Amino acid sequence: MQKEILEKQPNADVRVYAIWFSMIESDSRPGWPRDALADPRVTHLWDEERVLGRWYAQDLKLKIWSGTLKTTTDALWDAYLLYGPEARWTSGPQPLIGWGATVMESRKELRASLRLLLRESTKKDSEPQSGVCHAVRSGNDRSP
Amino acid sequence: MEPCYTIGRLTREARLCGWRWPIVVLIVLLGTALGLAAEPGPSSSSIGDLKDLSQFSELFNRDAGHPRLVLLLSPT
Repeated sequence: MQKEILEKQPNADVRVYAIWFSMIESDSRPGWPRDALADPRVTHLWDEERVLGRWYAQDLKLKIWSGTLKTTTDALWDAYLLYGPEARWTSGPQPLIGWGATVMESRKELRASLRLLLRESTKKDSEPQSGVCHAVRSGNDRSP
Repeated sequence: MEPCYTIGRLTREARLCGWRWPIVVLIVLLGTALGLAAEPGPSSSSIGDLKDLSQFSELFNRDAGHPRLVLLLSPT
């Protein structure tokens, strides 16, 4: 993520929220990799109760995600969700430009979506995107 | 004779004689300065706590006007 997206676009006007939470036993707040995503545009937050991951998994009801998982989990994780400059959180963050999982396996889609979004956001008369694209790979079979 | 400074009631070995003091102070100051300079910025080296959805929604809306990328990650 950092090398392929943030470092390649050092001037990109994007805000990144890295929401970290525990999904397996060895995960812990002290084990947070502080060297990962070391970029001033990134805000790191530890989500002890997996509030956001659960919200995305349950309230946003990303059926494709839950249908793709080979194991049961109550939280969306190892995933990205991309929003444009016009997005606001009312009952939830909308509109969603695109999302994907795992992050590593959907990085090409993320890079392309982000590039397009950044190009469009620089145009003052840009229109909000109406479509939602997503990229889900079935390789995420890690047990929570 | 070279002037010496005694630190409390210590032995001769613990005394620092005149010309050594500026060097010790310089090393301490230099070390402190280097340590501060090497300290990364708070956004890249610190992590806050996300307690509830409203906290995140406020953050999300505060950054409206910018493209935003949410990453849901686990440390391992």
